[in-house]
Amino acid sequence: MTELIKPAGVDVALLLEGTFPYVSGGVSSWVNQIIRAFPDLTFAVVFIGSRRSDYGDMRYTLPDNVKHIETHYLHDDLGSASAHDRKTGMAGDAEGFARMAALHDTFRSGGDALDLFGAACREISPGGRVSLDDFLRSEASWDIVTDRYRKYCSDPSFVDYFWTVRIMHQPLWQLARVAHGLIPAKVYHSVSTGYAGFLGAMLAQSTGRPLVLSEHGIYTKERKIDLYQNEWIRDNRNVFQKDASELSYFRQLWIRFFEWLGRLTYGAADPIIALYEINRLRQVADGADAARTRNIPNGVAIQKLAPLRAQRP
Amino acid sequence: MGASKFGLMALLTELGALQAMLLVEHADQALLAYLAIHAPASGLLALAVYLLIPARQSKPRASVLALLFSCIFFVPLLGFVGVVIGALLRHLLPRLRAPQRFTAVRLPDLDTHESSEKSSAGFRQAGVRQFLKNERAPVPQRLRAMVALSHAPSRIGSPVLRELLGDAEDDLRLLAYGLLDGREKQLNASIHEARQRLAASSDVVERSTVAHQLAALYWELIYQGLVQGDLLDYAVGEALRHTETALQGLTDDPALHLQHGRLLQQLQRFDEADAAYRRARELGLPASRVVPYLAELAFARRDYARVKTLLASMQDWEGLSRLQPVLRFWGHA
Repeated sequence: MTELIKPAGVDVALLLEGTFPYVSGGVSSWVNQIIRAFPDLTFAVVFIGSRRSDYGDMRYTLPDNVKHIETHYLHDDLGSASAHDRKTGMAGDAEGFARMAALHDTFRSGGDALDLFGAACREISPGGRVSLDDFLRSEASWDIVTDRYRKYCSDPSFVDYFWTVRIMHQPLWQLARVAHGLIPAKVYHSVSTGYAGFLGAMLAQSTGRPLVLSEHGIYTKERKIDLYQNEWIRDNRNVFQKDASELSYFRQLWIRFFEWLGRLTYGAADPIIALYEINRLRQVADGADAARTRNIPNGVAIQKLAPLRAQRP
Repeated sequence: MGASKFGLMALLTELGALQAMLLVEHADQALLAYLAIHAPASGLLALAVYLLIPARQSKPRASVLALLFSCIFFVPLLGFVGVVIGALLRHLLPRLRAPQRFTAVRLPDLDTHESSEKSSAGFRQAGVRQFLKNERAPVPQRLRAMVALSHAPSRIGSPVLRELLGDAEDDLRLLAYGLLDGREKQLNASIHEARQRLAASSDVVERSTVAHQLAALYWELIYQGLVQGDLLDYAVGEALRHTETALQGLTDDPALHLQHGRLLQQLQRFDEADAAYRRARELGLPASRVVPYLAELAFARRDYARVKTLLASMQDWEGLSRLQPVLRFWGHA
């Protein structure tokens, strides 16, 4: 985690996943522009990345009104806690884990998970009843994981299930820690759902401050397409169990995970902004409340293109 | 013989024994007569009761039988009645049995990991291609169809994926592009690696081998339908160039000559292609691998009589299942 300075608070905390200031591109330059367009507001930038080695130096000079920046790499810390640390007698908070299981049951049944989600956020925050250590090593956690494997997993490998669940959920505790330690802001602004959006949802839950979501692409959709063709997701079904038209269980698990990150972000965000109507409808289909959605089209300076109109065949 | 029959016989014999005792007047003789008949009666009853005892309590057989016999024989009347009451109680009050510590469990189902979310949307009847192109079908189902298609050989799947690049649905378009792009990237990575090996080697044989691989990789791009337009021309050119490099070192490789012929045919250099096919055949490649291409070449030259002659020579080859419709057509033509 790197920081500039730690001011008492800022006007806007931007939650950015894999974009400004370490990656250049459309979204990054938009973020750059919006910060520079409001010199009277102060900004904090929370950058969330995969691994430190995936990014180089900053691609943008930080505007003066960025008063605080912190960077977090979700996949760098996955292996930081040694699996061989000897921890004995970790029972874990069975009630806390039971609530997590209830939350997942609600995810499965497609019910309204927002209240349970709020409670879960408090549980996984520092000082909550379900710590990362508990998740990784306690008996209560083991019981839930094995129980759900027996109930739902259609892939034969428990080992793969176990590690998939661990790796999938571990970043959420890290995000809870980030949310806990972030300087106060009057408003949180995420430019995508996914991990950044989830962080925003947690911040909105814990502080009661508004969360603005402005999506340029649709994160969930892009993730899904990526997951459909990813080579690293295991499929251990044998030739008799396999149905070519059915995705492997772990692929489905990852897709559902990101769908729910999106859904929880939409649940906490107001307003939810899309660039055009098709995307707005997509957001609604993915769980956004239509009343909170709106379009702000990307402006195109048409004067430059006007002469082309005359040249149309 | 069942326990009840033994029991009845024992009872009758015992009654006989009692009667014998009453009939004989001399006391000692009466006792002897009683004992003489009481002994087989005891034996029969011991057998009857023994049969009622559950198998796990009836071992060792000789001792159990001896105990029963002794009880009945040496305690006249009372022993007889006692053992019978005991055996009856044992049967009438089954609940007195000791509680069982182990219960039988049901065997688990054969495989608990069979998919739980099987959908009814199979694509066997409808055909993936029609399903995918049906814009009114729900997007999740079409995505699943595309996943199914991604398991099909690239040669068959790629043209369908290419058609979907213009689909109205964002997800399908992007996934189709991603799948095609992934395949192309994979081949290009192999090509890149082979080119570096080619540049690094100076030995003629090694260069030929690597060039052969390179030509095959470029041919894969063409065969799988991953390149079109200018890129197709480029891939054909490169494949030909590397095939010719390979032929310098591997002059007698029949498969290489066949590949050479196919590339030349692709470039419409029919005479050279014909020569390459013939060379492949001379070098020992079986007719079944060369004749279809020769026939295709003849077709491209509009020499239909020759197509017919060539294919007539293949009529007896049952193994070429995919060629069968073609053979049938030309056989009747």
